[in-house]
Amino acid sequence: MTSLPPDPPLPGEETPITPEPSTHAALDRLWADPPGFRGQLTGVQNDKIGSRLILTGFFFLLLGGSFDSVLMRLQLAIPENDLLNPQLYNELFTNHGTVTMFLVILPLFEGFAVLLLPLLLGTREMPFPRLGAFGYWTFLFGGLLYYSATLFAQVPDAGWFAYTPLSGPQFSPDLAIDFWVLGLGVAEVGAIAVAFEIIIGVLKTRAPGMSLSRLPLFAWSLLVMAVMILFAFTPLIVGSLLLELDRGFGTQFFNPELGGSSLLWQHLFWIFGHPEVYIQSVPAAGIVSMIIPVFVRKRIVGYTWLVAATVAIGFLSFGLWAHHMFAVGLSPIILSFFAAASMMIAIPTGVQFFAWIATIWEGRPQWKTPFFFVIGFLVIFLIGGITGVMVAAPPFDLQAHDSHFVVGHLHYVLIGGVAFPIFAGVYYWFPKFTGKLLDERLGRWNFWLLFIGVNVTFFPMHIVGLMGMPRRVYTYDDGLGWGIYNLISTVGVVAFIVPGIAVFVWNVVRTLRRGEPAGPNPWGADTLEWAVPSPPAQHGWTNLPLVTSRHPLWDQDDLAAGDGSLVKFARGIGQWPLRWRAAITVSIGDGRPQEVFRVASPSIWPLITAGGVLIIFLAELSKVRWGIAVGAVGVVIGAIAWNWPHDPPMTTAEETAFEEEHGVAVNAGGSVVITAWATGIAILFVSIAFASLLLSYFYLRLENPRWPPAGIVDPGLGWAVTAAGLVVVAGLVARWGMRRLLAEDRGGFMTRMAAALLIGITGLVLQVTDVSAVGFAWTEHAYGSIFQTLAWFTLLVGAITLLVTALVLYWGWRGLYSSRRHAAVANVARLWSATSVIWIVGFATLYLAPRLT
Amino acid sequence: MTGSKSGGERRPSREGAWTGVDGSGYPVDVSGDRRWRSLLALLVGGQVVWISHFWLVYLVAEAACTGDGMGLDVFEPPVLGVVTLVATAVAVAACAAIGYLAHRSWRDPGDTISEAPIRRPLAFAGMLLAGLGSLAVLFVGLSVLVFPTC
Repeated sequence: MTSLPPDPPLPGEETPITPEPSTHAALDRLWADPPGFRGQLTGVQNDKIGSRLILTGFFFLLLGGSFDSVLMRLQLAIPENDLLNPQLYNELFTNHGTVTMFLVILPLFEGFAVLLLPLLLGTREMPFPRLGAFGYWTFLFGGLLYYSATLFAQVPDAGWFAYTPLSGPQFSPDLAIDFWVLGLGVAEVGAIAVAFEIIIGVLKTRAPGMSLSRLPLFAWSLLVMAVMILFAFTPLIVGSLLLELDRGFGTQFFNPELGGSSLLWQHLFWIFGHPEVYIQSVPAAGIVSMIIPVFVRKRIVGYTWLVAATVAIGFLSFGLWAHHMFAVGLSPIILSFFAAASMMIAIPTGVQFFAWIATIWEGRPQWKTPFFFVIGFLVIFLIGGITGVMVAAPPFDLQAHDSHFVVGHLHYVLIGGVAFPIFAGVYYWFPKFTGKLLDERLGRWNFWLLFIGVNVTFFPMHIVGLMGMPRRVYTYDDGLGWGIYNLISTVGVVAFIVPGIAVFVWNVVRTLRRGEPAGPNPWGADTLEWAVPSPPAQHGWTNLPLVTSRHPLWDQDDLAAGDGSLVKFARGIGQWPLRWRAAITVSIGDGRPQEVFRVASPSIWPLITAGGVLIIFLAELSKVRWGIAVGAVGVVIGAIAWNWPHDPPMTTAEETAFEEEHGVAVNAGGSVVITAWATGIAILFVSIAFASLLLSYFYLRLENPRWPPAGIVDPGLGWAVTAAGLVVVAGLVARWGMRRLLAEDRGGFMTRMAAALLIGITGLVLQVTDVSAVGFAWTEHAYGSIFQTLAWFTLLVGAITLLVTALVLYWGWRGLYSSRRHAAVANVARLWSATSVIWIVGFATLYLAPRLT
Repeated sequence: MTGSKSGGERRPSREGAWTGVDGSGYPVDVSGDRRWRSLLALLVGGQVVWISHFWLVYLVAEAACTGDGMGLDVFEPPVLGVVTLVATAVAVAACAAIGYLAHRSWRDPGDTISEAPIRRPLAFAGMLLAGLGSLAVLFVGLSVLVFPTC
């Protein structure tokens, strides 16, 4: 693992590139988005979506990250300054934190993933291009909705975490916090949509032969990031829902006077908020693991250890959130649990550091700009990590909490640990997607200005924080001795960081106009993306590469060589089909091809669906409640139209001919594998949201001496038990219907699906009637609030399952399904199983938990 | 994928296939995923144990120390400490078992010898993650010896 690669190729030379077959141009046209304005709206191609996400992230960085911070630093430069008033300062720090945490780093990494993964993994596209487009549009709409608060002079001012009760209806009665909750809510939907793509993309759409143990470390880290997004953003969406219900509908979740708990918000927020830090730093570490081996001409030391460290950070980060709450009065035993877990994360991080240092130690560094940024990362992130271990100790944290020490710590982590690798990544991959190398001399200026600037700006904050300067104060008294440190910090921003970012922007603009041309592999790198031309063709790969090494471009002379049947298969895919966008799925572990499937084509419906999501949130913001129904109808119509099945572009006989030739199944009608995965992850997403509501239920129950409160009788069991029984029966009947379809009994399939639909509707109606008839309102007490919310969430899950069942019934009546083409039916059966479990657990909690006490 | 690989005549497995077993000569062969399932479970098993243990002891501590509702007295010390220590012992044993199995897969690929080069790294990673998991479980769980009460 640690031996020298055999004579690394010189930059731009000797990269094993297979001659492009004659079908290259035809495939390039086939995979291109439509031209012109229509193509901008309907485009789904991963280059387009990925680069849009990155550019939009940078746009928000310049808007929120830079502008706000300069103003804040100017205000704090001298004591008792009156450049900004306290309200504006509140708005600026809220905006700065919110934008950088939600609207900058996340889309940057998701953009990197969508842009890079198909090339890095040796496949042609992400598995769900329309979902990627939907993710981008919702992210853009959410960001703009959030920012539109400025136009209405309703800028959020409660901090990036919007703690209740400050953010509740009593202390923030205007619309500012609604902009925060709802705008970010839209963006969070987009983040989760793209996470779906990344998880399934990394696990199931790779080049033949790319086993898990040959997966590039950046792909590992993006996989871990995406799983973390799914587990972290979902509780935040639930928390945001509860906060908006409190603000807009009069529920009492966070009102302690009526059974609510303000700490519940902190838990729901930080169970997102702390993993969010690792959601950002894990992919950043992945970039570092890609760049170091290339620039020291040495295989990474401890690949397996780095994989383990990445996975460990993903898990450990979900046991740390309460270290943001050390000062709220938690029990010492709980503090000790979280402190212990917080310190444990230093172990995998330390493993990463030593692996990187060992690789550099063993190699011969080539001092190019990406490598400079990586070295900057190692220095700054190390300091940020060590101060992180310090604040993980509750006694120290109680001293440093809410002081500028924490501001210094988190900026060392996020700028050193995240922003520097992002700059490294941009310098590294820019030539791949533009065909031009960023200027090296400007790159050095860029690096040194930022490196000096970050240290000059943020190091003094540790000192002034320990001297007692709190965070989020708009000014401070003269004579406290804080002035000189604040002045140095401001000089760091104005004299170094701002010019550093300006140099970067100038470098990008200048290079796009007259940059030095880059060959396919200007760095002599080892991973697959450097084997295709710069910029790559629309479809990326004509013949799929065959991977037999972790460093294919260093170890393989010919990417087309390998196992005989695989060679034939990869060539076959290069020649056929040329009428529809074909990609492959592989088995997770060993990367053997499983299926050739049709990737979705450009469509306007993701944009319309994202518009529907926006309308729902906009209607709530403007309190035009019927608009919520309009938006929901838009989402339903958009989602159905987007997934509307079309006749497969070839007959089963044509599919079979390829199968006979190559031994891999063909599904021109759509993949059975990745749609099953998507259904599974959708079920996981719903289950996480459901679990978040269940935990909220039990947390509120813990906080209330009487549950339910006095005067409320326990709900009756009769109708609930009947309804649950009907739902379970409906699920079983739906599964039975699928089995009939597999046996080619289409009549039996139709009657059973129709029966499942009718039985399910009866169960739903019974339960809706029962929930509507309970004798308590959601506004009276937190008990009613959580009862109604959990009940209606479960009912919504049931209603969605019924809607999908009705659609499958319609499409079945149209004759779309057979034993061969039955993927949608199998997915509906899976959905029914999940719905049954959620229904039983949900209503058992609501109806039985009060009885138990 | 199973079956002969020679001359492009590799026939996929019908067992557990997701497309029509009777309707198509070429069902989508998911046997490759099935064969790796246990190894992938070993890869993440130690960490799943750690997160399960963490959430269990945390929720019991919340019930014991935060909760003042009826019926929550049962969690109060010394029950909290006993539950935490028992859960810690069970979780460490589970991590050790996972680590042992991962170690065995790493050293001896058995009947998966042809795939050993691509399976062993994941088995090794699983062993590392089980080791870290047991350490983390102990570090969290044993803190009740220092703070036995709320």
